[in-house]
Amino acid sequence: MIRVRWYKVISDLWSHRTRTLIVSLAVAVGVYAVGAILATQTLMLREFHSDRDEALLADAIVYTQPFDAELAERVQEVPGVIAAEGRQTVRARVPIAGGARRSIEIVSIDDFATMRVDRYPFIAGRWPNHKNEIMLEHMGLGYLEAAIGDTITIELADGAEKQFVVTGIMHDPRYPSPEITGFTVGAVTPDGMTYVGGGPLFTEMRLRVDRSQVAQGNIKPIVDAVEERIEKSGRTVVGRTIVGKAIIESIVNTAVMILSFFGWIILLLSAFLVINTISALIAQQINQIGIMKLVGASRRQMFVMYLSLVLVFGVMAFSMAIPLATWTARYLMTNLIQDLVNLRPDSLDVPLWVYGVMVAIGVFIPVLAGLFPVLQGTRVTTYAALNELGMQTGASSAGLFERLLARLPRRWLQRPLLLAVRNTLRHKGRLLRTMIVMILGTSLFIAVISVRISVNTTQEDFLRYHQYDVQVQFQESHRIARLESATLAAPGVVGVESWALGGATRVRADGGESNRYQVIALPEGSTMVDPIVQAGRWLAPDDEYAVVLNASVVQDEPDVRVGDRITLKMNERERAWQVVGIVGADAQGPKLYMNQGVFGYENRAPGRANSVQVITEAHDLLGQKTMESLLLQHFEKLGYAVRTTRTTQTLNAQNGLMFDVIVGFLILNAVLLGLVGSLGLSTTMGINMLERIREIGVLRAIGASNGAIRRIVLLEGLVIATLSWVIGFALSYPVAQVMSEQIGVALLDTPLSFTYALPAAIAWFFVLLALAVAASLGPARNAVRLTIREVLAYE
Amino acid sequence: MNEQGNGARSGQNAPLIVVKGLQKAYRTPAGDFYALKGIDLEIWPGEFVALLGRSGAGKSTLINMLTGIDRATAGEIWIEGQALHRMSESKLTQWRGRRVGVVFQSFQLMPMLTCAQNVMLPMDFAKLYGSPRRQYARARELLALMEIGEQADKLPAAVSGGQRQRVAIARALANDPTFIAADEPTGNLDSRTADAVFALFQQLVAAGKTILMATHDRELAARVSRVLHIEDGLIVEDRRLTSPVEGHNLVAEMEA
Repeated sequence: MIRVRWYKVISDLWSHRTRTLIVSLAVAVGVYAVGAILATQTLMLREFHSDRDEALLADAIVYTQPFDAELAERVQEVPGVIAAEGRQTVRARVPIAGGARRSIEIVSIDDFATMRVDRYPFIAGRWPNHKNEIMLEHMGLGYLEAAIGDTITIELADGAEKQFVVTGIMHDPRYPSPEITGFTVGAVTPDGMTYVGGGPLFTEMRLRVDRSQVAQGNIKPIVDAVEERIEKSGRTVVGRTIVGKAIIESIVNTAVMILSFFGWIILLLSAFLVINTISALIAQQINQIGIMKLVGASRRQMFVMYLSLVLVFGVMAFSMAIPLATWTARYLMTNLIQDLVNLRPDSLDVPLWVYGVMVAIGVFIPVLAGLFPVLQGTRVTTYAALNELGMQTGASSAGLFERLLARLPRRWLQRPLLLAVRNTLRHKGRLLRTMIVMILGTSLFIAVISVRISVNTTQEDFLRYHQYDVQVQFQESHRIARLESATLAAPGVVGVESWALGGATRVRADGGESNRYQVIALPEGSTMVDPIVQAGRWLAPDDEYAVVLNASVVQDEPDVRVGDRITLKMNERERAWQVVGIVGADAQGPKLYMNQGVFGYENRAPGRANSVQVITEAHDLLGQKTMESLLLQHFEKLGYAVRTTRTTQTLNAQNGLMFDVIVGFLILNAVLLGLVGSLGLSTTMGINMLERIREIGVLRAIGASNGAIRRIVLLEGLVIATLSWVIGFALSYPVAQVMSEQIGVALLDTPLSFTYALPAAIAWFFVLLALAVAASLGPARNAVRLTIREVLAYE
Repeated sequence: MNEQGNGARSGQNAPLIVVKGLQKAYRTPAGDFYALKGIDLEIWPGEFVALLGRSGAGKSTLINMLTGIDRATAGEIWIEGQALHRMSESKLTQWRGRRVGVVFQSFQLMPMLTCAQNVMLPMDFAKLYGSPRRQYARARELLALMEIGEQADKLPAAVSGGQRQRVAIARALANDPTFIAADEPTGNLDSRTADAVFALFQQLVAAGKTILMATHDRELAARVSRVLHIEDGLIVEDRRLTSPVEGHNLVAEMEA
């Protein structure tokens, strides 16, 4: 037999099961939000870093003339270099069903068993050991519509076709899904590289550097020393890449940022809900507190009783939330994150400490939320408690709002509305907390939708730099007139513009060189680029040695301003260029734009271009794909060696996929916010009605009809919803702007093109009204259901 | 001990309750309202005292003062030599749980606990009478004393008003208190039930308890050992009764 005080606690839990469930649910939402987010974040980061650590990713790549393994051994002796290994890479295409072609990056590996840099963890099958064998990146199987043991055709740049047997699959964690990157990776032996037109030697020195130097950002001096060692061997260094943050890392970090922010916001809101509910619970129990004090209960004894009650809410909450949170994390990992981000989780076990956090939150939130109301409730004097003067401070005196209301002309506020407004102002603390939940829910919900729309706008803005349907890049430059004439001869082609694509590095003041930036040389008056100028201006027809940088370049070269002269190295020639403008990025990396004439002069290829941008009759995905195949066949027939093709619809889809992870998380959090907001309004309306059952009985006893009672109750809910929406709406614009900017910068190093979701904001108003009606209907129905005698005798 | 419960003064050396200059003021928008304007009083062990007076006279206020439910504005209250006027709220609560039994017109029972559990509650908070099993046994004994032993495991809502009041009295006796304060204990009861409850009080007084009962009911008041007539916050009459006849005569005087 337990002490009798605990029967009271158990009875409080059981006989008010709905309330017990609502409070537990309120806590559970917060525990679930933080738990799901923490678990997802932990799994994602753990497996992400584990994959990358296992792969021993390169910190830098030096491109040079062919070399053998012996040079790599010598480079490994350079101070600060942990490992150096030679690779060679060629790009090719693989035909798939329907005539389409998918890109593949083929890399040669000297010894699969002893990879020291950019390892490819083995998954299944076996490593290649013949020249016509290839190991595919595991996501490449689906991308190339192949299976282990199949023979695939590799189309080389010169049009030659080679057959390769797929011997197995490996993992390359450097890249996300090939649906995003537009290519997959395959590994071959040095003989295999020779077979595809490369040589047995290597042209890329891949380096891993001392971790402490990486942490301090001191890679450059080490790479300089490596280049010096290479040049001492008589080879020319043609370029370098300091491996920075990969797009995959941006996706993961952005997802983590969003998850963390929303997780804690939702937890805070659920805490407000809990405070409301526990405050109301204590207020409703004030007479019982009086009785307990009457018969000798100390404050400490009652405090322990109520805190135990609150602890039970917490235990119920985390019992509900923990399984759901871990399931959500595993589901998101396996169905969304894993494939998009190309993770190969070793385990989906959520670390114990995450469970610990969820338990702690489940316990601490209700305890902390309940602390003040319980302390306040147990502090009430026996006299006040027995007479149910309780915790109503100042309720009898008219506050500022009440006095303002009293001054309003009666024709503005009819009696039912006046009663409803006054009722909402009775418990200002509860009203404030409810409204905070609904205001934050409203502003964040609208902000999330705005970000979603901003993502669409941003994608549209990206396409402003690709105002064509199909791009065909060639292995070599060709005379522009012949190229465009050949293009226009293809059926379905409406327009064409030739671009010269190349690369350049910036030579910095200290003599160091940047990574290689893509150069796009445009014809005068190009119609296929509609730039968003952020600073300065776009290219003018008579510009010479003028360059426009995109925002991604500026991220890497933060010292550069419009008007500056920078030194660019192209084709081994260094020249000063005037920065005339900065334009927005297009999610395709850093780019330099210049006029075709001066580019041709600097590259000793005047009047020549190596890509055509084609406008076709069809603009939809299928139509563009069809034209892509058609153009490929057309140029091959004419003897042009095609390097790669792509359509803007595919480009758009790839960008969209990148955002899918982020948007998915945003929508999930928007749903949770909506749930918390609904719960907040429902609990407040329910509590308000429960407290006023006797008052409603009195109203009915003096003649108020059921309809009048219902109207007052519904109006109350509508007043709260409307007030919350107005304030939330006002806040939503700046919140949406900031969120949009932060997500854009985290993902793309540039803010998203912000678009405010006004229609969504207005739609949310009606949703809130509907929620208010739904939340009020139940209490309104209960209020009129009981007989007058029952409500007046309500205890 | 006579049937009025008037054995109090014989054989007892000191009063159980001593009140000096007791005042209680309530703050109102119109200024301070004095519910008690200066009460001096002594109550001896074993007395059955009725507090008589109209609504608003100060009966309940005086009961609240003597039970520590409310605090005096001025004056002194000594009960068993303890200075209530100097105790903190928490000390008053603890003292009341052990030394006083309080019975209200509205019963003030915990609706979710059974009759026996309601009686056990003071024992639990005061940590008296051992384990819950022993407390339950004692609760059943007290309910049997109140002639409602068979209702022990029912909720208050399942028993009649008179039975609820018996439960409240049993609860008041749970920790064997020094005195029992009853505020309109028969106010919600029919006359027959009221008589029965009053008879219980008489039995308790006969067993040596001291009872202070605020009441409107002049018929009941006539049957106690001492009547205190309170009017406008002051005791206007303090009469010890030696017989029921004297009590009826006093009541008739008051009604005149």
